[in-house]
Amino acid sequence: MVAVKIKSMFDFIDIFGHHEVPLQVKKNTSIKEFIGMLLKKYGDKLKEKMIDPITGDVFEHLEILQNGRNIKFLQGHNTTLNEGDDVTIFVPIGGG
Amino acid sequence: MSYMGKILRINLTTKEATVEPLKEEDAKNFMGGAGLAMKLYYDEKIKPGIDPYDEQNKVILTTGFTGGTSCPTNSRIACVTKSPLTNGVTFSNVGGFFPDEFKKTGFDGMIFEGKSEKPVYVYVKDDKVSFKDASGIWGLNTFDAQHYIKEELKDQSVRPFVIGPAGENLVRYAAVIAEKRAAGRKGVGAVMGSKNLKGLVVKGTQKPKIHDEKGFQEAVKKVLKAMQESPTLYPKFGNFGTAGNVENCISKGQMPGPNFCDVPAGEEYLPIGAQENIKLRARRYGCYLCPIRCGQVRVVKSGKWKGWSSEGPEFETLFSYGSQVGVKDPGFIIAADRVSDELGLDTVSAGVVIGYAMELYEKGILSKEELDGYDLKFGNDDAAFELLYKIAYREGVGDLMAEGVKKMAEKIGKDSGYYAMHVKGLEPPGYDPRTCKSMGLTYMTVYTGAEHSRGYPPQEIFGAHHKVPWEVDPYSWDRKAELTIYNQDIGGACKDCAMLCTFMYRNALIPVNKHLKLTAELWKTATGFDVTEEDVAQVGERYNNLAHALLLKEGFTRKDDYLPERLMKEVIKEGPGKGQVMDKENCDKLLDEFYKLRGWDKEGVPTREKLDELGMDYVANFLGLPDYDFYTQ
Repeated sequence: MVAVKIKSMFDFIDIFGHHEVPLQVKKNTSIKEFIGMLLKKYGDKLKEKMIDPITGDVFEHLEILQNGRNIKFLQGHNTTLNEGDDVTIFVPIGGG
Repeated sequence: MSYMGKILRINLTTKEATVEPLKEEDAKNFMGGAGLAMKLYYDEKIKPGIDPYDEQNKVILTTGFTGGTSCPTNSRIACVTKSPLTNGVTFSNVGGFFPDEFKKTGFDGMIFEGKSEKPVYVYVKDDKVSFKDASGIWGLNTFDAQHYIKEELKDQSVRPFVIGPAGENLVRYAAVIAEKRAAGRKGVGAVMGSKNLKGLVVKGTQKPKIHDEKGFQEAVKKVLKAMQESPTLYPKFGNFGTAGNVENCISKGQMPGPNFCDVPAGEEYLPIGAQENIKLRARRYGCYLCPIRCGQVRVVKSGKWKGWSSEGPEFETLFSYGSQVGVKDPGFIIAADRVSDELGLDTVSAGVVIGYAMELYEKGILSKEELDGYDLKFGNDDAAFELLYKIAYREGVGDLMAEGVKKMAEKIGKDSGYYAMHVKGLEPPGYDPRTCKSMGLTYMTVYTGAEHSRGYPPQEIFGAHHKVPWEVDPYSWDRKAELTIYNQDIGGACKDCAMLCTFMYRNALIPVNKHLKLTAELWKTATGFDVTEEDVAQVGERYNNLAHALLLKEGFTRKDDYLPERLMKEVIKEGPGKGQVMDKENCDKLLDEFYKLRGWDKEGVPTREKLDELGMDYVANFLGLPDYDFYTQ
């Protein structure tokens, strides 16, 4: 098992309870498996925020970062988790 | 058509006002807002090389074709002048309620020229123009000046647009304030101050005539529908405001650390983000005809800044009075934001200037004595707060700091230039370009200097749902020149010339690729011009080429299109962007590609062929470009 952290923002904090939540996962768990695990643990509240009911996939407007890098530019949902990794989940909002 | 068809020329020297027709070809070629103001500025034939404070400089204000209509987020105004920070033509804009009232006076634009002998404010009520003695409000802060103007005119419904002490004292980054919103950047307020112009006050009863009312309302409905369907606009963006970008940028290593050092702002700066700021929110604010209402009125509830309130701060101010100066207390930022608005200071430049002075102090380049006795270490919020007043009144070291970092470095000498964060004299906003390369190229190439808004890459900053024109890795160099041109031209046309809100476009229209189509539809139905998406895109390109040509005539060259040396040399040491840098070699490649794709030569001079393609042979002549024979010989 390896120690990882979920980092969430805005409305996701209401679901995870804190900005930062430590979790233990099997080494080389993929993001896809990790999301499945989270959905199991946090139930419908998370599903509603994460999963597009039409496609069944993660909402397009959701940002998933591994150590600050969007998983799209890593190996997507096949990106694997290692000891000490952060996974940030949020909807990017704001402006400037 | 939805243009009013008139431009008002106001001569502050002679106290004369004259009305001129809006040229239809200017409306067709430049749409309105920034594009129209740029063309009017060009037509004024202002002598290159003049001091921005010379009375030959002019201030031009324009609205868009959507102003005064029912299109949401349309209450915006463009301000174009020669900037005292950059010595080049510049642009600033503001929302609120003032722009809508401006259009109701019956003018698409106003040109302020000359210099009043004594302080004055100009009151335009429909077509009646009065020059009012401002000696009784000269010296007042922007909030009080607005209050007493309303009292003097015995009319609480007028909309003033005023400068504060910073503008009067020619602080090079003085803002102009309408209600509590700012045309903040690049020193438009200082140019007004140099003309002894305390403000403009507007009131009107005119309404633009829509060419095809039914068609226009259909287009407006489509805009509203896209806004409603946006996954980020309601309630999220309206609820958290621009502050949400603090969390976003910190998570990706894009928020600069103190004075853009090699360690970006990390999670220690989360206390200045939206999550904490929302706890301080008293109420929300919206500009005229904006259903988003992203403005956040905040009150400090505890700590040493308890009791201060402000309409804001927006993201850029959370950066400039936060991570840029090493402060993690949102209370200070709220207080400093409030005071800056009252003094009429641009919060971005002011924060970057203070952070710069802090670094020079920590590096031993400026001594405590030279800083009026302040122990100006990063994080010293008390000193930063006092310095805002010193800058606005040009007292003590504030006189030096009122010049902006470029001129400060020239005066201080030693190694100070290395730490002076600016491009073309303009201090950068809250994005570290080393971790968002297109933003970096925008800082390098936008005519206004290091700013974000004239070529904002939402694809790099708000990644997830931005697939238009394509998805990008913010750290990558791939196709960034092409992307930057897209954002500069499309952004230039859609928001700066149509004068609609960038947040509406960025959240609702651009992600679903409806920005060009709906802008064209609105423009066509409002005016009767037979325009397409391509025409809209070309407006942006034309506007950016014209502004660039004006810079070239001022003597700007390729060497002015680079980032500060620090950002090209210092590699990011920590965080997600570890190892990232915008090194000179890659910047050169990017610039070569950018110029080439723009149809400019290797020195950044547009070719006659490109300008002809844009219908701007007059600009080719203005630049003295050789004709085609030259190339074929």
